[in-house]
Amino acid sequence: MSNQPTNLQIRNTFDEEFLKRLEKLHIMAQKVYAGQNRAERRSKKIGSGIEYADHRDYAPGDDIRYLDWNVFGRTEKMLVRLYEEEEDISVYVLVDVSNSMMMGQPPKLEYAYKVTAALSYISLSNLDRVSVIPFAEHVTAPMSPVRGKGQIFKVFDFLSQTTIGGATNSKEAFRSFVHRYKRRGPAIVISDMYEEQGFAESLNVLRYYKFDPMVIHIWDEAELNPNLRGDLKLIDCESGRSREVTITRALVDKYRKAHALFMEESENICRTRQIPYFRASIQTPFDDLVLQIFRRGGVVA
Amino acid sequence: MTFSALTLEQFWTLLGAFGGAVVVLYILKLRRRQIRVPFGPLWARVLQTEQTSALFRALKRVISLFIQLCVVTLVILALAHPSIPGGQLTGCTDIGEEKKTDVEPSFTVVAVDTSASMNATDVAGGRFNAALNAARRVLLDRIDGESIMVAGLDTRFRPQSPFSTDVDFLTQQLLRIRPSDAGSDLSVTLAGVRDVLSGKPNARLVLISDGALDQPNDRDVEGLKIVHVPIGETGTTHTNLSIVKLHVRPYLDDSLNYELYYEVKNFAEKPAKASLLLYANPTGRVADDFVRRGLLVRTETLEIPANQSVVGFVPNVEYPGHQLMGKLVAVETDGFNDVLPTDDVAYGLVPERKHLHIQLVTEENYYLEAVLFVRENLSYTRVHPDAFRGTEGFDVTILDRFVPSAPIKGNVLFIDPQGPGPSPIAADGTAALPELTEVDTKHPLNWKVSLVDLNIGIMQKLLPKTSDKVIVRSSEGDPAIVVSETNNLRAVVWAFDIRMSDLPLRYAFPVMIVNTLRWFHQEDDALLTGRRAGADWAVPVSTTANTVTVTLPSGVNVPSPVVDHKAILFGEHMGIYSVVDGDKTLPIAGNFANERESDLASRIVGGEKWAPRTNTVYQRPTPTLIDEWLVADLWKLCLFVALGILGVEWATYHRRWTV
Repeated sequence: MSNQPTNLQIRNTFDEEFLKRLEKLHIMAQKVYAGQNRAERRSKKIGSGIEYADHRDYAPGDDIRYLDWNVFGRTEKMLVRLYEEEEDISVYVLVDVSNSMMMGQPPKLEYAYKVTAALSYISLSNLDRVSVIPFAEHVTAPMSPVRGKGQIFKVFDFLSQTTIGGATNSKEAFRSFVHRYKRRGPAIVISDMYEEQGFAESLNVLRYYKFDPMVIHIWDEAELNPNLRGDLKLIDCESGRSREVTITRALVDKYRKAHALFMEESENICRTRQIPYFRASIQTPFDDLVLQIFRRGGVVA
Repeated sequence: MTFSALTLEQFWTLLGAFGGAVVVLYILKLRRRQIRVPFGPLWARVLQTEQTSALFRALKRVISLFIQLCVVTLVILALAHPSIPGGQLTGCTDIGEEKKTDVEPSFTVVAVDTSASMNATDVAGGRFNAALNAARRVLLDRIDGESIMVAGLDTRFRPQSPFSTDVDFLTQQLLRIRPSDAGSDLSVTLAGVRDVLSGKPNARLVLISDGALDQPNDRDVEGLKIVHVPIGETGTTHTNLSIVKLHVRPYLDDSLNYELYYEVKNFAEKPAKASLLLYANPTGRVADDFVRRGLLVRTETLEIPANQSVVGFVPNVEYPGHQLMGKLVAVETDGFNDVLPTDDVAYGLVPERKHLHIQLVTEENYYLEAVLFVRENLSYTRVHPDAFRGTEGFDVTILDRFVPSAPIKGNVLFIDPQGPGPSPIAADGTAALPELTEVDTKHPLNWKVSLVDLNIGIMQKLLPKTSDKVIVRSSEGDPAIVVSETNNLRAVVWAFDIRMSDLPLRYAFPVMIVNTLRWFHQEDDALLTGRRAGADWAVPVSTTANTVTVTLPSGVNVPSPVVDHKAILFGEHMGIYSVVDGDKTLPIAGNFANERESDLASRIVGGEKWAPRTNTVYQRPTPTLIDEWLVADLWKLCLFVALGILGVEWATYHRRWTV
C-alpha cells in the first residue's frame, strides 16, 4: 500500500502493445455499435454537412455554390440545397491524480490513464473534441481540446507529463472546470473517490452546469483485503494524518465491511443523481471496462 | 515475609534495576511500523466503533505501565522465593492460652555446626541443608520474650546476628552461614557461647550438629544449658574414605622426580576399593583447577580393609611445577558410598627445583664431570683454566686445582686451590695422609655423609680466618673443608685433591656435591607439610612490612597481619594459599587431615535432645492449604498472578491500544 510510483513508470504505460489494444477496441466498438448512436448526436442545425436535408428558396446573400442547378434547369426555380450539419461534441475526461491514485500495485493511476487514453482514442476516432483534465486539490494544467484520431499521441504525451500528487478536493476542482469550459458535453470522472467530503456535491456542480457526468470508480482489490497485522502507525497518504493501531483479524473484517459500504455509498451517490457509474477494479483489463461502457451506451461512440 | 533465595538488598536492587528498565523502555517506547494507506478516514470510521470511555483512554498508557511493573515485581518476588513465617498470615503466632502478658525474658544461641563433617551427603540434601532446615524450625519455635542469636560453629564460634526477636531477620542471617572445611573445637566454641550468654537469664544453646564432635567436658559446659538438634542418624556408622596424609618430597640426589607418601583410611565397617589420582598443576588452587586444567600424573589402586589405614609410597613421581593434588575416588561397589567428599582431597607442595648452570674449571677431572653429568637438575660447562673468563652467567663455579689471578665473586667451590691467583684461604704447607676425625654433622654440607674413614694422600694446611668456618678437620687439627662467606664471594674450600683420595669411590662424593650446590642456593629439602584447614596459621616471612598479601584458594587477595616476622592468617578452606613475601611467593597447602571429622559417627552432644515446646507456649495450628501455599510455595502464587495479569493484558491489549 505504501509503494509510490513515479512519473517514469506511468509514461511507460503507452507502449506499442497498448496502441494495438486501442485499435482493436475501436474496431470492436464500430462492429458492434455502428450507427446505433450516431443519429443521437446529429445536430438539428441545417448547414454545410454532406447529407441532403431539404430545399428552400434562394434569398439574396445565399452562397450561390449551394444553388441546386439541376432543379433550376428543370423548373427555373432558384432553390438552395440544404444539408444536415454534423456537430462534434466535447468530451471531458477528469482524471484524479491525487496521492491516493498512486497507491496499488500497479498504481491505480496507471489504470486510470489507460482508461483515459482508450476513451479518448475512441472519441477522437468519432471526430469528437477531447479534453483531459487532471485534478487533485484543483485542476492542474488541463490539456487543450484536440480533435481527430491522430491527436491521440498528444493525449499520451500529456498524460505522461502530467504533474501528479496532492490531496483530493473534487468540489473545488470541478468548480474550476465548469467555469473554464463553456462548451457542454460529457464529463467522465475517473477517480478512486477517496475524499473525506465525498463526491456528491462535486458531481452536483457538474450537473448544475449542464455537463453530463459519468463516474468510473477505480479501486484496488488489495485495498479491500489489506495484508496488515500487529502494531502499526497508519498514515493517510493525502492528509499525512497518522493513527496508531493494533490490527487484528477482527479489525480487518470490520475494515472490509466499511470499505464495501463505502463502495456502495459511492454508487448510490451516482444512482440517485442518474449518473452512470462504473466500478473498475485495476485487476480487470481496461478494454473490458471500455466495452462495458459501450454496452451501457450514451457517452461515447 | 522472608526471602530464602535473595537478600532484601538483592531484592530491592533487582526490583530497582528491572523496574527502572521497564519505565525507561516505556518512555522510549518501541517505534511502530509506519504504513501509508490510501484513505485514512476509512480506518478512522472503523476505529470509531472501538471507541471507549475518555477516562479509560486517558489512563490506558498508565495502566499498561502499571501492569508491566506489577508483572516485573511479581517475577522478582517469585525469584526471591518468599515465604511467610509460620502462622503470620493466619494470625496464629500467639494464640489462645499461649499468649502471656507477663513474659519472662530468655536468651538462646542457635548454633549451626559448620565443620567439615556437615558436608556429608548421607542425609537427603546433605547434612548442612538439613541443619539449616532444622534451624528454621528452631527459630519458628521461638516463644514470647525469647531473644535469639544465630551463629556458626566449627573451630571458632561465629556469631551471625545480634540477639533479636525478629524471626524474619534471624532467618535471613541464618541463610548467610556457609559450611567450612574446618574441624571442630568444642572447648573454644563453647567458651564463645558462654561469653555471649554470660549474665543472661534463661540462657541456652541450641546446637544443630551431626554430633561428630568430642563430648564437652564439665568445665566447658559449666553454667550452660545445651540442647542438641541431631542431624543424621545417631549411633550408625558411615561409609567414608579419607586421605589422612599426603606428603611429597624430592629425592636426596636432587633429581627432578619426587617421592610421595600417603595414608588413606577407611572409616567403614566393610572393606573398600578406591583409586588415588594424583594431579599436578603449577597454578592450581582448588580441586577443580587440578582436575579440569591439571595433569593426571599417577593413579594408585587401593584396597583398604574395614576400619584400617593403608600407607604407601609412590616413587619417581614426575610432574611439572611443585604443586600436587591427591584425589580419592571410591569404587562404589557393594553399597559402599563415600559420603564425605571433603576429605577425599589433599594437596602437596615441594620446593621448586632450580635448574643450575655450573662452570667446571679444570684441566681434566672425569670424577667431577661424571658426578655433574648424571644430575638431572643441572647442566655444566667445562672450561680450561687458560680459557677462564670469570663466574658471570653461572650459578656455581667449581675451580679444580686452579685459582685465577683476577678477583672472583659468586658461588665458588675450590678444590685443592693452587695458583696462579691467591687462594681465598691461605695455606701453609701440606699434610700427608691426614685422618679426618672432626666432622660438623649439623652443617648442611655434611648432611647424610660420613668422612671419618676417608683416605687422603696429601692435603693443604689451610689457615682459615676467624670468620671462616671449618666443617671438617683432621686429627691434627688441619682444616679439610672450610666455608667462607664475604660480601661478593661464597666459597667452599676443599683442602685436598679428590684424585689424591678415595672420595670419588664413595657414596659420599655425589652427596657432598649435591649438598654444596644446595647450600649455595639455600634450597630447603625439608618436607613441606600441609597445614590443617580451620586453624590460625603463622607463616614465617622475611618482610618487615606490617601486612602481607595472601591469595586465598578462591583467588581473592586479602591482607594478613605480620607479627614477629610471621604472617597470621586463618585457613578456613582447603586449597593452595599464596603469601606474597617481598619478591617471593610462599605457597601453603591447606589440607583437611582431620580424622576426627572424617569419622562421621553421630552422637548426642550434651544431655538434652531438642523437641518443639508445644506444651509450653508455642503451638502451631495445622496449616491450611492457603497457608502451605503461602509459606512453602509463595513463589508459585506470584508466578500464577503474574501470568494472570499477563493474560488479562494480552486479552485487552488490542482494545486498549486501538482506541
